[in-house]
Amino acid sequence: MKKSIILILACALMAVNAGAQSFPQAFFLDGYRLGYRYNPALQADTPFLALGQWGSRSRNNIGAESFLYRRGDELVTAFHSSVSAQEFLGNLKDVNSLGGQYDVHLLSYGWKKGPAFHTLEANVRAQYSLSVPKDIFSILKQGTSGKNYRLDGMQVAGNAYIELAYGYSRQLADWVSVGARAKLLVGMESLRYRLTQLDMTFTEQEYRADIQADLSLTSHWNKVGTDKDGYLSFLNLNPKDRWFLPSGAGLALDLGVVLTPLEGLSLSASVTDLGGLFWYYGNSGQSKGSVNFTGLEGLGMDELNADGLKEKLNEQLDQFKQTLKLKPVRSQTLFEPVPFQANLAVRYELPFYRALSLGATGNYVGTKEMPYMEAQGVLAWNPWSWLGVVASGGSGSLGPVWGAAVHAAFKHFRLTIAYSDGFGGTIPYTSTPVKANSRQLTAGLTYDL
Amino acid sequence: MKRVQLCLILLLPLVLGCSRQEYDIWEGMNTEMTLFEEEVSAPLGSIGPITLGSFVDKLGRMEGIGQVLGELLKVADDGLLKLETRGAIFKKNVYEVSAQLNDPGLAQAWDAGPQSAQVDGMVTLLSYFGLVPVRQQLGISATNPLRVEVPVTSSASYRYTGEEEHTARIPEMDRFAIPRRGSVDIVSVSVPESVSGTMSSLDLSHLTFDLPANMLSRIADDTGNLFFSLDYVFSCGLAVGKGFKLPLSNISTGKIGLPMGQFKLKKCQLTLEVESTIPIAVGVDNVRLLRPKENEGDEAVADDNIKIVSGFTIAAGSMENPATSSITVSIEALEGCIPDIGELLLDIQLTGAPGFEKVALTTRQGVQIKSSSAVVSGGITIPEK
Repeated sequence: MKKSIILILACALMAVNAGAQSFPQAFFLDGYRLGYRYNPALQADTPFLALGQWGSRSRNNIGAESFLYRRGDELVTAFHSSVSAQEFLGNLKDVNSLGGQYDVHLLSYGWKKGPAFHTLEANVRAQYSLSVPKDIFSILKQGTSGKNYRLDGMQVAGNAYIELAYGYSRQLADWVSVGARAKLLVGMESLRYRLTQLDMTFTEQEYRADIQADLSLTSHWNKVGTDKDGYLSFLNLNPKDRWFLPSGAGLALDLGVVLTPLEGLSLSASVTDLGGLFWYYGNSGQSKGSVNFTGLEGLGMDELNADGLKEKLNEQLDQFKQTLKLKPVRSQTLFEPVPFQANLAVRYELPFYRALSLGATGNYVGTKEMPYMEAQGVLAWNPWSWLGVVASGGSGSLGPVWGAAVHAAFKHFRLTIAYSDGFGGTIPYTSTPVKANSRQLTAGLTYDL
Repeated sequence: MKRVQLCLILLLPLVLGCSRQEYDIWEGMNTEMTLFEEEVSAPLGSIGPITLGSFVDKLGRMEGIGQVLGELLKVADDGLLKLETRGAIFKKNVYEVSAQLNDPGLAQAWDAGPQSAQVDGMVTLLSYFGLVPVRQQLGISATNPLRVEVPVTSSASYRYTGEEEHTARIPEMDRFAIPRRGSVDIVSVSVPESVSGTMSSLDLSHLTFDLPANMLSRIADDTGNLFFSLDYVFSCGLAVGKGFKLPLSNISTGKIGLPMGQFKLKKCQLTLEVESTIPIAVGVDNVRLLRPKENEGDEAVADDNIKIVSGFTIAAGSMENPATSSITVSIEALEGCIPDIGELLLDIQLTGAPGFEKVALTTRQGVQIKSSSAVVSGGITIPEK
């Protein structure tokens, strides 16, 4: 149990997660062909083709430092007696979350026609999130003196979908460009397990838990069967013949505008991923019930030994597991928004050396579990058409951040790598962030047609 | 510059692949954990009822004094817990009897002389502690080694002693016959409940057997029995008498062997609600913790660092009116932590309570822990391994 307590969060922190992403530095990289992802009003200089783009983004509102502490020469866990409850719990949030996205860009194609620039894009995107309320750690660390606890903030969710996007941008005047992208979202698989109610009472006379949990799982590949008692059983999977049919469908919209009010000064405003999917949850279940433990009842003389007690305890555990079992409920269709992003940026090219520009970005990512806001100052250097370098630094909801992006061309090929991270560092070899963190990596190759 | 660009592209997969799969984040880390540092309370549940009947069963599987008690204590059909002792009043080999006859070839009456037996045994011992017998019963049986019925005459009486000594005749023993080849229950005598006192002895005078001629030729070889005998079975229920008081010091719980040390507990408080239908009040005091012995021959020593606050009494009750007692036991380490528990030593005082005099002990009486809970303060440590 010991390691798992920490691993629940720490392991999940290792995952680097997603966003098909646009990255704020994109506005400052001249020659970058996929800037329309950040702001659909941005146009590439030339038609292009992109293959094998990849992006990931992860965010966690606590880090490994909340669980690991240095005591002299020794590293101890948060549950070591030398770590006070005040110190440990002070390093946690009310709801401790992590989440992220993975994006794989299958294909991007952009072409210019008259004053307009068109793009077509196909992506596979996946998202996940995990939330654990602070009270769980409070109980483990301090005990049950609080008597009543409400632990219903716990959930695990994830989904994957295909995104087919068409983008259009047009320069309306010398000083203004607008753009929009319409995205057709094709759902593959989605899972959401939520403890909608977990009220726990701990007294000397009774432990009581009132539990209600919902499982929503699409049935893209399998229809989950039931066991002999009528509960959902993941050992009883019925593969679907028509697996190629989507599990959900939806639309999303990107909108953007770029203004150039003065020579060398440009402003960008955009919202991306405004929309969501209707998911058909063919596997839906609900568990609801109360469990109360008043101790081991009616122990006889012969049961007052290790084996007898173990057997009685197992009976109680079985009762608890029974309450968590999911009864199938009617399939349902639910709308779930995709995380939308709002971006603002200003860029000013130095009049005495236009290759160097300064600016600032601000962006907001709206997710129910962990909304995120960030602002950075930017320094960009675009000396030649085949090279651009951007460095940035600032602060976000999860602490200070820095970023860097490089864009380099070789003949018709253009490589772009953008990375942003917090300052806490990671545990060696594990990628586990030490502090609350936002990390993003985007990399890909485009080919100028 | 182009070379640099090319190198960067080629090196990228290497940089991304710089992770060591076998890296163990836990290596060298102190993973000892202390949970519930302030306080944790937990219901423990109910135990029992633990009846005197189950206790007697357990006695039967024990060694030493427990085994002896287990053999003496029996259960009557109606659940009465009874003490039963057996013994011989008279026993003589058929050849010895024949040798004493003037002319074995003739049928004749043989006088065995006066016989007696002490029947109270353990009862007298228990009466010293204030336990009194109830429903006293004396059964007499006889055996016959011959193939013919043997008539017997005698004059029998039993004595019971209390504040005064009394004698009562047993008229059923004046004349009876022992069937051929067998044994027979001759009589069963019950002492009236109105009588105070304990049956102490059985006396027979003029015990005379009417023996057949050529007795030795009539021995029932197939039974293997060569004795004329008279045997008794004395049984009685047990009840608490006036002024019953049985102090028992340094009673050991026996080897417990709880490896508590690893959990580094500072203080633990147990709260129990006990219901008793036993007509005896049970007081427990002076509980001491003994650490496990390192070697078998070592003397167990009480751990002075451990303060056990107990001093509780389970009140006497009856089947009709069970008594409920709330009990709190706290175990605290004055310094450091509660160590491994080898065994517990305690003083127990069994006391008769007013209103429960002469209530017989039955197998159904017992104690039941109706509810129990524990409060652990200072955390529970889970060791590294």
